[in-house]
Amino acid sequence: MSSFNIIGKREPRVDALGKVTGAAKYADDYNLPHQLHGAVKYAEYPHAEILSIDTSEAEKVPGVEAVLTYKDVPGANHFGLIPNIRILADDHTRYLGDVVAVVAAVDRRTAQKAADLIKVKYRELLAVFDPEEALEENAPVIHEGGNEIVHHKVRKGDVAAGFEEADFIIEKTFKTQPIEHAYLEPEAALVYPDEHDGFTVIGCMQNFYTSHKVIAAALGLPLNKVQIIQSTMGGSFGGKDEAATLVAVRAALLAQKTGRPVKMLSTREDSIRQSYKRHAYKLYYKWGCKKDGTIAAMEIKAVADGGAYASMSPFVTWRSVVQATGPYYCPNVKTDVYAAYTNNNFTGAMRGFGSPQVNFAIESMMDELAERVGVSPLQIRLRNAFEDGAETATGQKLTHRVSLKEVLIKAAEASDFERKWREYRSEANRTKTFPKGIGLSCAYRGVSLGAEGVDAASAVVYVQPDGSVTVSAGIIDMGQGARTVMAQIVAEVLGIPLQRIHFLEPDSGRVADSGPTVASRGTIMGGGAAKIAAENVREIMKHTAAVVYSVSPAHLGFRDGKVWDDNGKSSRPLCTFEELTAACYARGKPLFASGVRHVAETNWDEETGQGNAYFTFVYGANVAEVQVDSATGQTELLNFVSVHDVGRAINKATVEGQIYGGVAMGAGYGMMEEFIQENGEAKTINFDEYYILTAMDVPKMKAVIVENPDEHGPFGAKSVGEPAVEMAAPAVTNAIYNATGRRVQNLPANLEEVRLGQKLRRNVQRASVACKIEPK
Amino acid sequence: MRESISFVLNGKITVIDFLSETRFTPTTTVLNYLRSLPGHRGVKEGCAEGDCGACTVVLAELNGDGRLTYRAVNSCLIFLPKLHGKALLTVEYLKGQNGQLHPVQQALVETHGSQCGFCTPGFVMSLYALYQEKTEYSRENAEEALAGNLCRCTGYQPILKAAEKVLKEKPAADSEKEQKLIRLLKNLPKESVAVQTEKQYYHLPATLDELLHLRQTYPQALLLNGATDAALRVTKKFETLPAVIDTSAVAELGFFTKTERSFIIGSGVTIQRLKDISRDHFPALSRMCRVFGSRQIRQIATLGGNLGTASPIGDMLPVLMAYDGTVILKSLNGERRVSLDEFVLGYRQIDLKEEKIIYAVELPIPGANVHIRTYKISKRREVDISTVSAAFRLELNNKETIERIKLVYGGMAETTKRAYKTEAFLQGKAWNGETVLAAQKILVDEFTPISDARSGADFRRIAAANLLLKFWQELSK
Ligand SMILES: Cc1cc2nc3c(=O)[nH]c(=O)nc-3n(C[C@H](O)[C@H](O)[C@H](O)COP(=O)(O)OP(=O)(O)OC[C@H]3O[C@@H](n4cnc5c(N)ncnc54)[C@H](O)[C@@H]3O)c2cc1C
Ligand code: FES
Ligand code: FES
Repeated sequence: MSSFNIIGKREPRVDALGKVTGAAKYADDYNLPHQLHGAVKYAEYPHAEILSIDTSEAEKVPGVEAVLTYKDVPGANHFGLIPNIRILADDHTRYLGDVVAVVAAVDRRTAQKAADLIKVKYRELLAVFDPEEALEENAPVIHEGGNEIVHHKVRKGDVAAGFEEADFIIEKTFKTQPIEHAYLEPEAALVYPDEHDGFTVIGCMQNFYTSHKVIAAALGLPLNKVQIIQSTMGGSFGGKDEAATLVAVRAALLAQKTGRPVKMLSTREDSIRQSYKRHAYKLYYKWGCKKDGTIAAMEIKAVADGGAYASMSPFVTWRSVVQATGPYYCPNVKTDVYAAYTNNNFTGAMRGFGSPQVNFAIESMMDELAERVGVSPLQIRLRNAFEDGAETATGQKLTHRVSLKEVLIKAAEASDFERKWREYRSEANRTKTFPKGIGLSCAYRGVSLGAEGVDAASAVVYVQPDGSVTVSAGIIDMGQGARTVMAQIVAEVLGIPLQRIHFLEPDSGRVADSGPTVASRGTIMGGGAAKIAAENVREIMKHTAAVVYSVSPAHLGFRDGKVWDDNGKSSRPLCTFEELTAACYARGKPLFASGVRHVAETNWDEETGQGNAYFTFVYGANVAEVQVDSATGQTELLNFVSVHDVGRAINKATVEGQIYGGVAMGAGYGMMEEFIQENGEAKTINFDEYYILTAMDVPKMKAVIVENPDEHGPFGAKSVGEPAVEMAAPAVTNAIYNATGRRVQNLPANLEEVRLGQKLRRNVQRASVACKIEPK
Repeated sequence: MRESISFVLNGKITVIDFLSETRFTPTTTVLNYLRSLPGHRGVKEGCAEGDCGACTVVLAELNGDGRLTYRAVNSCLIFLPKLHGKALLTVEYLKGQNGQLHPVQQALVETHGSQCGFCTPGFVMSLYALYQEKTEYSRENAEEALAGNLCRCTGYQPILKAAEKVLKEKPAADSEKEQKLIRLLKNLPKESVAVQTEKQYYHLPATLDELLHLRQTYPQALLLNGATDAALRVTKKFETLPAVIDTSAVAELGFFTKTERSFIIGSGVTIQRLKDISRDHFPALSRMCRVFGSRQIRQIATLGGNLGTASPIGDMLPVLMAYDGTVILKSLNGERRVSLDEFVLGYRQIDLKEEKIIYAVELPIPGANVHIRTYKISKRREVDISTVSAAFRLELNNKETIERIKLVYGGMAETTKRAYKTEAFLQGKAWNGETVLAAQKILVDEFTPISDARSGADFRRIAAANLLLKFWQELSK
């Protein structure tokens, strides 16, 4: 495994050309003659009973071709992990992004005008916007069976004894805010009836296997009558799962009703209003610590705001419970993580998936501990960090290379952490108008889905008769570079140049259900499957070559576009890749193979929270350096170092791309991003009020890649997509602490938080007063 | 007078006649126009309000000396008639003869500057304008030019690297393509446009005289310059603007003259140009221009338009007030001058009387004893509307006592407001820490700001008072 031809190279992305020329086609770039345009009618109360829906005025508008409510859905109107998401609101509204009706008309403006004419009668119900209140006894009930979506536990050792043993206790409460994925491309789909009584859907769905099932079920059709074509995706970050499915299925219903192509396109405002967010968490952390800086016990409670529907809450909070104690030794642990329904936007998958919230708490606590013990943030982490063979809070023994200390030390070295940290905590710095600060964080992360789901992925490799190759996998490219990485893997196995390989976007008929492209599983799972598929094709080629050239198949090598006889001491070329391809086809051996990647065993005990949660983990460390304006609280990011052990970098430039993008997103989470809702109403519905970092805000970034190949990944590769984002926020807030001596306990660390140590806004009612019947 | 507009679209002369055209109206945005054409879908919509830059295109125009100037702008905010007489360049224009990439595209490929790619055509065009303008590379210049393009994937680092790469390599002198563009532009008609359809009329006068006459004839028409404010009414609220007078083609509004004692700056001067004009004599104004919107916005938004909005969080008014600016209003009957201190009458209301047209602003050059600073507090450092903004003017006499002080705040009330009580308190006092601390106490209660998504009222009050302290700290250094 020592030398590779293409693996590890900074190959340009295979899709770069189409992107820089504007030729890449995104969902809204597809159009058909006579297509109609959809528009939606939103719920007018965050929690209400729907008494009646009057669509008659809307139907009269010239140019309107269809108006649909839940009654017009021929099949299933519900879907989801816990199937309570409504395609069209039926008996109740549960958040203001619920859609009560959809309209198709000749153009968007007409459709919107008609949608505005739909009249709905409601009986307003008590609403609840705080997950902890939602779990109280007399809270308004949002779904039958109560507001608790899930309660995960981890129990290890004896916490009472642990606290007994402790020299001192640190207890803190943290809050994290909901945030928006802010993929630059809003959701869009084009659906058209095809000639076989079926429908074709072109859209940008992160988890198109699920979208496929939801759409077929809603239309009342078998799966093979619905074809999904994945368009180039303009970003997703976990966000284009149910949110994009909703847009596509509503278009499909309208297409079915009208028999015409229907385009459904969200404006930015639609997108932010409807789509799910990252969960807001309230986190209660209590650590029993010893004078030497070790931790004897941790008691943790976290409550996540699940919003109106369950979505991925059970899985998101499961990752939180597994990782809530961080990559640190602690013999006695009691963790409880809850998710509750509220009448806010529902919350679901977002890059990081339940880890950014707990990491903020853990890494803030670690710095508090360092302060109490009187050592540096680096020293305290090195003292508590997992090492090879460590046992996690869930009782899992880590059998891979545990590189936490390695990444911590590299991060500290690359940023001159120890020296700066000491300098900045001085009185001389803290009393300046613009004090500086530096902050450290680290984390570990279970790779792929873990014990939360069935985990397998497929890929297909097809060597065409001229020696050019197509690859398809059930993993999609949302911009992260999956196309490039998979093409590189196949090129490596077949020993041919990258240019010979073409990655086809998957569609529902091409590759078997591979589950979602989430949990940073793209490379390890999809790449793993592509590698197996390519090896299977190569096997067929080897057998033919062995016959044609009378050599042992075991001695055949594929490099530099040629096939080699690597017999013992000498290497000699036998033929070109194309020649062998031709020979195979001439002998009736088509070069087409699939590969399926399964994962190692994981297991979980719901009651004790013990088990092998993930088959492997990755490790990373971040350092942020900031400057704070003491008059206004404005924080400027100066420098950022992000170190990640990725197992093996298939393409160094795409790994760095993930790291830079992750830092920008994670730092934004730390200091400015916030999806603001007041009494359920979304207030930040476009980029004038929902802030993400710009080119002027980003710090100078240094990405450091560490490679400890893992037996489970293709060529040893693990993952980086989510690790890149999950620990940036606490690095920033720890840096602010270093600069000011004030700890940010509520994200984001915006002006108010940094300057005053609290948020002043918000006069949100506890629960809105119940109204009488409100004829509208 | 013409009823159609003519412009060059990616090297081809294009004419739109709104009377025979059914798909477009004079208030159709360039973004919607382009996306309805075959082969021009590289341009993307990410926000439809000037905040994301996905829709960035380049406008090329002939300047006085026969050369081309390039401006990156947000096509989602531009009405079609604004293309009249100009060249519209989109990402599709960059393709080389044999399909080879333009250097900015090549650089983005090499640095991995594109991931999902949705933002990429916008970045390509922002970079293209920089490249064509032969901008000197510095990280600051690159950041300044790209801050109006949002990217969620790359963290910008690779894109900034691409900018460095292309700007360091000097573009070749006027290429064949440029020469062709110049020839086409020279032949375009430049006269004024007047479109009258069933639902609306849209006038694009070419001279000040025409403008003044039109204003007389249509006193109710909506006056526009950059239309960055007005475009949102069409794209967000689906309004049909029934009567529009677009002043953006009136060259006489884009003037700037400098006398011994003052600058007179035309209302049609863009914020971007104002930033350069004011650099030496009005540094605080220049600084404010730098943090105004994004470059795409600054290149079309105008001084007159900013005053015209009379927005309580508009960025120009406070600083112009600090400079003791006077606004010059014009009509067929003559001119009238109003001190900017008295120009705004109420929430989004200004004193235009019958003159109706903001013609220019006069700014006296401040003396050496005058200290002027501006502050803009926003959630994000740039490309953001102010939460609170302030402009302060201090004149000290030689005994270090306050001869005159002006404290102007934006975002603290329904209009831009001076803190008169605090000013009165400070008048004649010694300029020192104690005075400032005492003044802060008055200042905290002088305004009753509102709470909104940007900030809470209490924070605004505290921040406003803090800015005075900051002013003192900065000056005493
Ligand atoms: C993305 C974005 C960012 C922005 N950022 C900022 C910012 O940082 N700071 C800030 O202050 N503003 C900002 N704005 C608001 C707005 O762009 C500015 O106020 C701008 O200066 C308006 O100029 P304009 O030429 O585009 O005005 P227009 O939209 O053309 O006109 C604005 C108003 O002024 C009137 N008007 C225009 N010209 C005249 C004239 N000659 N005589 C009389 N009345 C006239 C119009 O009738 C109209 O009511 C931003 C807007 C956007 C979309
Ligand atoms: S679409 Fe976002 S700036 Fe124009
Ligand atoms: S590459 Fe995806 S938004 Fe920039």
